[in-house]
Amino acid sequence: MSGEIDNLLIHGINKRISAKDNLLVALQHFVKFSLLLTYVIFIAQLTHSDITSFISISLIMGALATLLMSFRKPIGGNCFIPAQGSVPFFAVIYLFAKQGSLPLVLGATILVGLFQTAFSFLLPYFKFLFNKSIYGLILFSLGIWAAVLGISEFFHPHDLGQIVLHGANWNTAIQIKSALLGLFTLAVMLGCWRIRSLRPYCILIGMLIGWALGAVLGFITPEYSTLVSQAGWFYFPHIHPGFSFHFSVTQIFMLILVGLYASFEFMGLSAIIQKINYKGEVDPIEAKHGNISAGIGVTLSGLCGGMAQSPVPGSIGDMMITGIFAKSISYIYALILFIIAFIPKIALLMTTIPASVNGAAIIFMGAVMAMYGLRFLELSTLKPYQQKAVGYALLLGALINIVPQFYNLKLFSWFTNPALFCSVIIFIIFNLILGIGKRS
Amino acid sequence: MSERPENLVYGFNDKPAFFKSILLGFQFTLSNFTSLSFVLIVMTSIHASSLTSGNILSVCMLIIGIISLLQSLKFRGHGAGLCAPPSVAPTYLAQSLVAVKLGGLPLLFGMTFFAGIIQTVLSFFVRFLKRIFPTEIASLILFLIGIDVGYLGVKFYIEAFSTPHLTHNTLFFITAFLPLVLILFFDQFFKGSIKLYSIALAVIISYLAIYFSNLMPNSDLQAIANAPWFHVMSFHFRYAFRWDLTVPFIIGAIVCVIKLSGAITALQEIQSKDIKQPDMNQISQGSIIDGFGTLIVGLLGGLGLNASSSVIALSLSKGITSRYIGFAIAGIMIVLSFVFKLALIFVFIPKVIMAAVLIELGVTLALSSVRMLMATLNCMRNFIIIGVAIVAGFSHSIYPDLYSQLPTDIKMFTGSSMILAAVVAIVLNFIFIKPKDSNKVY
Repeated sequence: MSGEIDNLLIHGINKRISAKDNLLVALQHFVKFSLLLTYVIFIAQLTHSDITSFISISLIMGALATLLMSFRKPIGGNCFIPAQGSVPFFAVIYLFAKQGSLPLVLGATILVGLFQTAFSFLLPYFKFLFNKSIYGLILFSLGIWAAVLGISEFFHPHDLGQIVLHGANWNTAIQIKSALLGLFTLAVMLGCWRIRSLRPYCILIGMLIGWALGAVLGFITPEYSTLVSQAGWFYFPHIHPGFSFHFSVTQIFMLILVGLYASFEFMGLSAIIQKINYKGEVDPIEAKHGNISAGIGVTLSGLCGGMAQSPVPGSIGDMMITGIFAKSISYIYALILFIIAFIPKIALLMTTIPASVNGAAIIFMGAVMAMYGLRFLELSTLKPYQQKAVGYALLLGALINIVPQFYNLKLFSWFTNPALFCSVIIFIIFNLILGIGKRS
Repeated sequence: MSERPENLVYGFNDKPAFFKSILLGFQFTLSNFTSLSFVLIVMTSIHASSLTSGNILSVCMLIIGIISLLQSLKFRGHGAGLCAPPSVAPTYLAQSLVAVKLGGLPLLFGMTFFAGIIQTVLSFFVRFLKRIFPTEIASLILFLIGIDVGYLGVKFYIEAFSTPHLTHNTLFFITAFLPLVLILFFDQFFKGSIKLYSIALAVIISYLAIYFSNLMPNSDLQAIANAPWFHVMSFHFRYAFRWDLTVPFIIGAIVCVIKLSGAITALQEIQSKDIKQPDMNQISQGSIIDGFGTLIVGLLGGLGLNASSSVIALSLSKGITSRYIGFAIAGIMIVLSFVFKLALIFVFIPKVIMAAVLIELGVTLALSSVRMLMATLNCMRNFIIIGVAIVAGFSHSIYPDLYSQLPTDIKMFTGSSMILAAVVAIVLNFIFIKPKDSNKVY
C-alpha cells in the first residue's frame, strides 16, 4: 500500500539531526511521559523522602534503559524508544500497592524483567508470532487503549494514576472545565502540527501552553503543589533496602503472563519502527535483541529500587506524528533524565501537568498509532481464514474493555491493557483452528 | 458499444428464466434474513410481547418487499432499475434502542418516519453530500456499528448464561456454542452454497438441536404452535417526536445515503469495463426509493431500512445484478410477511443463536469497514480524522458513565458511540481541509 503515509519518515534512526531538534524532541518525550511518575504516589506507605528517592532512581534507570535500547545487538534494539515508567507494570504495581508493599512491587519487577529477558531467547522459536496481523493488532490495541484513556483524562484533571486501569475504583464525577482545557490543548497541538516548521514540537508546544493555562485556572492540586514546594533543588537518592519474592503460585503465574504481555507489546513497537525505517520485512532478531535490553532495563530498575522502566508505547505515536526516529535523541533524553534525577523539584514539577493536558497529547498519539495498526493489518494480503481471525480478534479484543463482566474478571486485572493480550491470543487460536488444512 | 466484463452473469436489464429468478430470489432473501434480528434486539429491550414483535417483523418484511419492487422498476428512463432490496438498517439500531426506551413504540416510529424524510430529501443532494461527508466517515461509523452489534451478541450470551435453570445443564453448554461453531465451520471449511448460507444453515441446525434437547421454554413452543399460518399484520398509527433525538437519526440517514451511493456505484462499475463516471441519476433515484422505504416503514410501524449489504455483496461476488431478481425477492418477502408462524419462530429464536449471529455479523461489518477504511488511510490527515473519531466512539462504549453526566444539550451529539464518532469526524473534516495537491504529505 503506497502513498503519502509511506513518507512518514523525516529523520530515520541513523540520521544526524541538529542539536536544537535533538534537545527539543527529547524534551518533548520527557514532558509527555513524565506524568507516568505520578503512579508512584499511589504506592501506599511511602514517606516523602521515599517518594523522592523512588522517582530519582526511576529516572536514572529510565536513562539507562533508554541508552541500552539504543545499543546495537546483542543487547539493544538499535533504536530510540524512551523508557519512562512501564505501561505493562501499572496493573502489577496497583495490585501490590493495594497490599501496601513496595518490596513486593520491586520483587515483581525483578521477576518479570528476568522472565522477559529469558523469553527473548525463545522468541525465534515462535515464528508464528512474527506476522503483520499480530503487529497490527498490538498497535491498534495500544493506540485505542492510550487514546481512550486520554479522553477519560479530559474529564478528570487529577486522576491519572487511578484511571489508567479500567475498572479500578475512581471518582466518576466529571469536570467540564477540565475537558475544555484538554480540547484547547488538543486544538493547539493540531494547529501546530499543520505548520510544518512546528510539527516536530507540536506536542511539546501544546502541552506547555495547556500546562500554563491549567496553572492559571487552578488545575494544579494542593497535594502536588506541596510535593513540589517541599522538594529540594538537589537530592542524592537512596536505594530502597530490600525486595520481596513472597508470591503465591497464582501471583507467579500472573507475573509470567505480564512478562509475556510486555514482550508482545515490545514486539509490536519494534515491528513498527522497523517497518517505518527500513520498509522491508520485519526482522524478529532485532525484536529479540530489543526485548533483551527491555528486560534488562526492567530487572535493573527493580534491583535498584525504582519503578520498572521499559519502552513507552505512546512514544511511537509521538515519532509517527513528528516523523523523527533518530537514535541520537536517546543520548540527550538519557542525559535529561539523569540530570533531573538529582533535581527533585523539577521532577516533581512535572507531576503538576494537568491530566487533561496529558490526555490531549495521548489522544493525538494513540489515534495515529491505532490507525497505523489498522493499516499494518493489510487485510487484502491475508487469506480469508486469517481475515476472519483478525476480525474476531479485533471485535473480542475491543469488547474486553467494553463489557463489565469481562474487564472485571480477576485474570484481566493483571494487565494494564487486557485487550492487547486477548486480541493476540484470540488471533493465534482462531488462526490455528480456522487454518486447519489450509496452510499449504 | 461498451464492453461487457466476463464476471458479469446478469446485468441490470438481463432477464433470467422465471424459475431461475425465483431460486436466486430465495437465495438473496435468505442472505437478507439476518438483518431482521435487529428488530428483535429493539423489541427485547422493552420486553415487547411476541405478538407485537411478530407484527413489527411482518411490517418490516412487507415494506422490504414493496421497496424491492420499486427499486426494480424502470419505465421510460424513470426508476432506479436495480436489484437493491433493503434490509433493517444497523445504522439506525443504536438510535432506535434509545428512542424505544425513552418513548416506546410511538417515539421509535415517529423518529424513524423523520429519518425517512431526511433520507429522502438528502437523496436529491447526494452529489453534494459526498463532498461534505466522504466515504471514510461512513466506513468508520460502520466499524463502530460492527463493534456495537458484536457487543449485543455478547450481551445475549451473558443473559443466556445467567438463566438459572440452564446453567447447570451440560447439554445447554454444548448447544450454547453450537451456533457459533457451526457458522465458522460452514463458512471456513466449505465452498459454494454451504459457505454462502453458513449463517442460515447454522441457525436452522442449532434451532432444531435446541428444540430436540427440550431447552426451549414450553410457553414459546405453545405460542408458535397456536399461531395462525396466515395473518394480516396490523399497522401502528401513533407517533411521537423528540428534538434531542434528531441529530442521531439525521446522522443515521446521512450514513444510509452515503452507503447506498457507494453500493450502487459498485454495482454500476461491474456492468461495463468502460464506465468512467457513476450514473448519478440512478444513484439519486435509488436513494430516494430507499429513503421512501424508511419513511413508509416508520409510518406503518417498523424499523429504519437501508439497502442490504449482504445482498449487494452477494450480487457483486456472483456477478448477478438483474433487477428481475429484485421482483422475485419482492414477491417472496411480501408473501412471507403474511406467514405469522414464521415470524414467531423468528421471535422466539433462542438467545444463544441470536448471540452467535450477532457476533458473526459484528465481525463481518467490522472487517468490511476496515477494508474500506484502509483504502482511505493514505495520508496523515485521514489518520488523524478517522483515528480521533474512532477513539471518541470507543470511549463512549468504554466509559458510558462519563458521557451520561454531560449536559442535556451536548448529549444530543454524544448520545451513542456512532453519533459521537460521526460528529468528531465531521468537525475534523471541516477543520482539516484537504490540500489541493494530493501528493502533499499532510
